Amino acid sequence: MIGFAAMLAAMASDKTALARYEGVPGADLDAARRLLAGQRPKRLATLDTILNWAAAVAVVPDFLLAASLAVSGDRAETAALILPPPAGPAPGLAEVLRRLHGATPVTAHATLLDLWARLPVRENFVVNRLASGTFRSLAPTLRPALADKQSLHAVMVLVQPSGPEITLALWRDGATVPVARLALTLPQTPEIMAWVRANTTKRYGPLRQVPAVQVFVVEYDGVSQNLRRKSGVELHNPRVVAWLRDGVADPLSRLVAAE
Amino acid sequence: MLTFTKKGLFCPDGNFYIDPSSAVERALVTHGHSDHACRGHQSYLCSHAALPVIRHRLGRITAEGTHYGEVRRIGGVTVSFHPAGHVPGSAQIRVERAGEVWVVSGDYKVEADGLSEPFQPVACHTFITECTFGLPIFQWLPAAEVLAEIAAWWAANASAGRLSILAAYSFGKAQRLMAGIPPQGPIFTHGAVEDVTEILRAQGYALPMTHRVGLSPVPRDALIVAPPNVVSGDWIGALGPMSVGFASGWMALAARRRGLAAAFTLSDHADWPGLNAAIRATGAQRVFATHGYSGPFRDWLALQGYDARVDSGAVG
Repeated sequence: MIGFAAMLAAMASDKTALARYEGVPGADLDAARRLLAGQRPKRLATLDTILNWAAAVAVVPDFLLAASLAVSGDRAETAALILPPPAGPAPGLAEVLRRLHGATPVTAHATLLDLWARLPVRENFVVNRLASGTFRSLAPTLRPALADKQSLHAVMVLVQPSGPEITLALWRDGATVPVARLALTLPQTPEIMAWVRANTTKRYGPLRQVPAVQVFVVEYDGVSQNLRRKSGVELHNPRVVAWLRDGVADPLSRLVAAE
Repeated sequence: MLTFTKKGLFCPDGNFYIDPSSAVERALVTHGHSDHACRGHQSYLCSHAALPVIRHRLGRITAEGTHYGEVRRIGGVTVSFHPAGHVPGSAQIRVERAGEVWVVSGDYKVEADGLSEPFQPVACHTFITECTFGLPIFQWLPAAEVLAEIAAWWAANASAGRLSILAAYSFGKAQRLMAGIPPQGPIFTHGAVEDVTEILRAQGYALPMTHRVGLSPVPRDALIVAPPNVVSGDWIGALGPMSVGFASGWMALAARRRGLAAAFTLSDHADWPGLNAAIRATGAQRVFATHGYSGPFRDWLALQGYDARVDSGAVG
């Protein structure tokens, strides 16, 4: 079954996508149209409150919640991801919206707990956006979010052990293109540097070249054009926030599209 | 019994390393991925099932295979290899001395993938576990549901005259996908994928028929399986209308899916519930967390009552 999260994402990007949802009840399609036309429920709780409610349901302690949020970068998503899997049949979008429209800040907690227990993770992500009044930046599966921090996944290609500093790159046409040089301050830095020492393929003065396999999450505040750079773009205030063991780096086209 | 060193896990009584990251005399290797099976060791010991891919990737090496469960004496310890369910041939390594047992998980997943030898919990006192996805935000759906989702994407592409291109590691993920996705047309492969697929097929793993891209025309209803680093480049540019999909555990995150035409959350690593269940099943009292979110994961295990530690060897 296709959930309403996928349906909303498809409809937001392509009006003809409706044709693909012949099996969806008319009430749910109407609800989706009204929602995308701007008829959203009012805010029931802040994102922080919703995240704490979800952590209580999932019995996730604070330090794990903080580590999880650092990797996801999104409170509504983190709240959805940590919840246990649903039980029983999932409600459709029409029922979900009816419940959210009918809720008040006083009943919001009970309403969310009931919906969360019955919905899959992507749908709960939508519910959390709706309940927190941040639904406009759900479409983010399609467009870069406005409110959230921006991030991408880049692969390490050069390392300067003093510091240490690493040069991160994205893929273009099967080759890597450097996009940022920045300090490596992660807790796993010793492990990463041990890998670098063991896997150096070439040295250029103080720089070591390594195989392009170690992927990092880079957060940045913005991106602008800079034709003096090989990539053609420059990241504003980039910082490494996580190491993705067995990660896959992004294509450069994704960053250029954001610029 | 095992100590963390700069080169990797070392067993002084057996004078061997497990998955060392730089050249050593004797290496015990859990599986053929390049961050575990490195070049340059004087001798290699791995599972029989892992050996052909390791030889393919490393060239001329002195290597020996061992059967799962076969007990060998090395110096003052006994060692045996046990299925880890990560990729074909992957193993956990059990080390015993005078009744004390340590198990090194290597990479593992708990759910059977229909191709890799399924994960078997091994009772031990000390368990050294990976924790690549050791946060509660990582909870996988049953693989059958994700594979059905991929099949639906492939079928929709085929009916619209678009090629389906799936980015996947050339060893492990690629073969798991081709064996597990309900077929909607012929399967084509990039050379790096095909080389490994031929090796695994010759070993007897049940893999569907595949065709190397470039040797024959690619019909529009085909699925092409290719390594991630070639799918955004010239290699696929000449193939015409297409949809490119990615299958990885990281696709659980919206930030990872953004901008991709199709993304599927499918991993060869244990998810949060899988890691916790696997650790419980060993009966271990002491657990070392490595390779991943080891700090928070260690704290979580300590909260559950384990003597929990992190890989400290790389320090200093």
